[in-house]
Amino acid sequence: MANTSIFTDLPTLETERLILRPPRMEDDESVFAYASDPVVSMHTVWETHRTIDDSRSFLAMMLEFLKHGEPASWAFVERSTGRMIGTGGFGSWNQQHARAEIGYTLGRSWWNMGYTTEATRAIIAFGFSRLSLNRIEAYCFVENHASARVLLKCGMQPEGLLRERIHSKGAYRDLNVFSVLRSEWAP
Amino acid sequence: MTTSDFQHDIPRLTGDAVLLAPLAERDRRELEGQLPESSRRLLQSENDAQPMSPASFFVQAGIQSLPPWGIYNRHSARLSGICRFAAWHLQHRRAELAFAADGSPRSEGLLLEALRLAIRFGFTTLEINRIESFCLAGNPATSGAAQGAGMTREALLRGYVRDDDHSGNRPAWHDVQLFAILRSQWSG
Ligand SMILES: CC(C)(COP(=O)(O)OP(=O)(O)OC[C@H]1O[C@@H](n2cnc3c(N)ncnc32)[C@H](O)[C@@H]1OP(=O)(O)O)[C@@H](O)C(=O)NCCC(=O)NCCS
Repeated sequence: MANTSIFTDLPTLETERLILRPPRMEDDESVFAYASDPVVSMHTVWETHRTIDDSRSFLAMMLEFLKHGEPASWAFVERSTGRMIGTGGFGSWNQQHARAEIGYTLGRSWWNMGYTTEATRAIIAFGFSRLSLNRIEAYCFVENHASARVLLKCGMQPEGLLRERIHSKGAYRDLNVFSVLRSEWAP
Repeated sequence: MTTSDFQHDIPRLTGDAVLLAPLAERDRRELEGQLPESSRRLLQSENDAQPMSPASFFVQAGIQSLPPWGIYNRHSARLSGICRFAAWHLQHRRAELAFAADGSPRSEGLLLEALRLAIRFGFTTLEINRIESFCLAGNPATSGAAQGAGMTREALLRGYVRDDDHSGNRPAWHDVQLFAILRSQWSG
């Protein structure tokens, strides 16, 4: 059952260089700018956005999730420019077992500046403090070394390699699974 | 074959010593009384446990669960366990094979044969590419059966399930081992 109070009124999180705020329909062009980039989407489960309608559908889905108190991503806004540069947050949330999965995407122009690590730390802290999670997990394609690095920098531990677990863009893909437990989280 | 073919009816599968047959409601209740709580919960697919919401409907639209088989001793007709394809992801051609047995030494061999039959059914009839099972860590009977049936240990998922049946106590967390077998690795 969704905890309607938290996600229906998703709080804005602030980090040193980013603001994590609920997504808006007006983010469509910013989303399209990176989600139409095949170098970005080669690492994601979702398909490359072909038209801006794909980005609008994505945003509409996020807003629908939030309206119903379901987990959805935050929009990452770069403080210095006010630009929306990516998204990230909780995907699935299993309340029975107090665990949730996180994911993120960032526009290529902003890669390797530590932004996703900064945002993910704030999201993990939110998960342990506000969602009372015991376990936060993440899955990424084995070739996605940048994402694995982000997860390690955020204190996650690798737990194994899941073979051919996802069929995406015409092929079976191997996934690495990572997690951090509440008991080992030191912000 | 359409995916709904087995939503309500699953076939009987017969092995040397074991019979997999749709679990009678009476048997299910009886078995649930015998299984440890942890196994009972693992029997439940995550889909069953979660009420439907718009988001979970979206996520679960391509996910199905088959009804459980009872694992019967073919000769005595005695029920010794249960197994089930839960969380069959159509897009990814992957399914979870959830199982539990009553823990008696005799049921171990039956469980192993049952898993082999179910895996064969999954790869040939359901045309699944990957079959995975989640076993509580520290339970050699279930992890042994998974490995005996040809599955490979892929991950140790820490703190994956909560045991909240001891009311008043702090919740206990259990690690879960993830086993899987791929169609390409399956020897038939
Ligand atoms: C994964 C992603 C979000 C990382 O974002 P980011 O803001 O660049 O991440 P950070 O800057 O915080 O950290 C990236 C780390 O990966 C490292 N890295 C980058 N490319 C790498 C590569 N090819 N091999 C190894 N390490 C790499 C960087 O050096 C950095 O580590 P360091 O700080 O130790 O030097 C971004 O690359 C992205 O959006 N990729 C496409 C979508 C995606 O993969 N989403 C996640 C799906 S699981």
